[in-house]
Amino acid sequence: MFDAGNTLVWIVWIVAAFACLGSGIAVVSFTNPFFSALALIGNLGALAVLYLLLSAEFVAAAQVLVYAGAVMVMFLFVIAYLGGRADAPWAGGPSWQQVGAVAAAGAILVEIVVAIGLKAGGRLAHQQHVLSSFGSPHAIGRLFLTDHLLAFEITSIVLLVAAIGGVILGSHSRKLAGEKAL
Amino acid sequence: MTEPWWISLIKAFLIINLVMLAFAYTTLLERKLLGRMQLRYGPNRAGPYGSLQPIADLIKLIRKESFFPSSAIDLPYIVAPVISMFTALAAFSVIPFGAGWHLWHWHVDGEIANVSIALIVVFALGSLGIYGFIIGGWASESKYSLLGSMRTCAQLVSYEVSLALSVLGVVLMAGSLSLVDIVHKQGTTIPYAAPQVIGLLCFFVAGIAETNRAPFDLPEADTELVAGYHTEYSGMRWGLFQTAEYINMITLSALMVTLFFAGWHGPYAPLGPLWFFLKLLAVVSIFIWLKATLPRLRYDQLMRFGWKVLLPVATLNAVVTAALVVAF
Amino acid sequence: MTLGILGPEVSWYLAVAAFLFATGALGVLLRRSPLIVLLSLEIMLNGANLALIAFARHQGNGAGQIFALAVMAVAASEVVVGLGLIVAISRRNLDLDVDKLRTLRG
Repeated sequence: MFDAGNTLVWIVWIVAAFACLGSGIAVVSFTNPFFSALALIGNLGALAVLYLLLSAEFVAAAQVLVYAGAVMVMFLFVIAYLGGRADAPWAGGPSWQQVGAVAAAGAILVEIVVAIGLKAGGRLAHQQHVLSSFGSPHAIGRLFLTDHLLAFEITSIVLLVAAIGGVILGSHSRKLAGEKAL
Repeated sequence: MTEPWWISLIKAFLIINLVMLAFAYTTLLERKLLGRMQLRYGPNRAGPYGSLQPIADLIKLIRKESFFPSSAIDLPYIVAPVISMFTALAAFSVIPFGAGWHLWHWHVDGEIANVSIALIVVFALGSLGIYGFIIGGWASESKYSLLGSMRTCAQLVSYEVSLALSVLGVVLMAGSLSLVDIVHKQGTTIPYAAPQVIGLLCFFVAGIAETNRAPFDLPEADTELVAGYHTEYSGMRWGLFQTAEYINMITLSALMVTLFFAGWHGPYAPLGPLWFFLKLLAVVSIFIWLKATLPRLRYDQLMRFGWKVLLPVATLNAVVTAALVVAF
Repeated sequence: MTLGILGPEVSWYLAVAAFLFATGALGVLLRRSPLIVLLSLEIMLNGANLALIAFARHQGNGAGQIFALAVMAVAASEVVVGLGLIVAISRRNLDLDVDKLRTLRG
């Protein structure tokens, strides 16, 4: 598994995985939400690298283009607009809620590891060999239009609903002014 | 036979330097062309016909005091122009300049990296470039900067959608997202400017808005919001933002040449990079011509145009192209 | 021409995904600002995405990548609506604090 030919891949993996985990913890611990959002952008970039290592190049490109390039821009907009007032999570000593939160998160982690390890432990060792066109746009496009057409159409409807919802939530509510006048 | 990694490195170094040189002389070209269109000479003092003007500008910018507003947040303030520059330059790694050559016994590709998703990589880098503006505007801790950067980013995000949709026609006709394949297809069939006229126009207009050029350059107008996101930047930091903007324009022109005008193909001699450069020069000159000619759009006119006119037209172009490609 | 996997096996990626999910859960439970709760939710979704892509590579089945793209689209939609809500809340000058926003009437 670990030989000289793979060294570069392993180095890239280690850097990307630690960047992922580090930025994940950074998102949760920064006080200023703008820095949290920047850390999340780093997280998405590291994840895109991991996707590339898993032969999912179209998903990696879509991740950077859509998630890191559009969704996070929206986040940064709102955070810059609303100002950086946020809570300091660890201020004033750990309260029972915080201890409980850490314990719960730890429990989730242990549960995931145990569940997947018990159920699929042996079978995880062998990966399928895949064609070099595995994650290419061609393969994804074919899947979207043949096997998973329903998922494709439902996704488009979800996006449409979200767009309409965004427009309605964002429009200056004239009704509110009318109620105030009453 | 693939090229060795060190040839890719040398090519990358070469192309980055050539692009920076092209940027420097694009500023001179712009000032000269603007001057001539306004019935005056452009800069002609520094060197013969003003050819040393970019060097003079560079020395001036470096020597200028890069003041640092004390309330600005250090790291993002410094890193913001770097992000814009990086993404603007990185897009050149997938643009094909030639057909590939044989030097001694090595094979040299015409592009630095031939990836199957090259077009998405270019758009993803463009999306990442927006962060330079947002972070720069926010880190300056000034109301003008923040509002200016918000406007800029809203404009960029809006026109990005139309930009991506307008090239769908080209992708459908070429059957690939790889820029190398698209250029090859155009060499064998026809430059896509002919069948995709509407796509070309949409791409061009969205591109002008994406690169903050006139007539869509409201964020930089002096009479609006002081100077937008680069209000609090001076000296070489401001120079980096300007560099990023011009290189974005050059990148977009290179992309237009690649997608619509058959990249490095040319009529007589197989001199790939030369034809590419000439076409690039023509497209950049058209950008400059528009700057000299058209008045600025107001912000609400800009947004209305982007969403209500350009997006439907680009979508329609994609749908009609898809129908025709399937039918024939 | 088929390729084996380069670098670590799939189980390493699953470990990263599990950590990401747990970190996101920690953020959702711990933080009080709804903006940061949304960000932590995004981390959870990304952890799930990584697991999906890892399993897709493990099985050689592209359905995992399709599902990951669908999850990405749904996450984007949810962020739109969530941010719209937050902006609407702040427009009414309410505190952006999930502990205080407990009732439906402002």
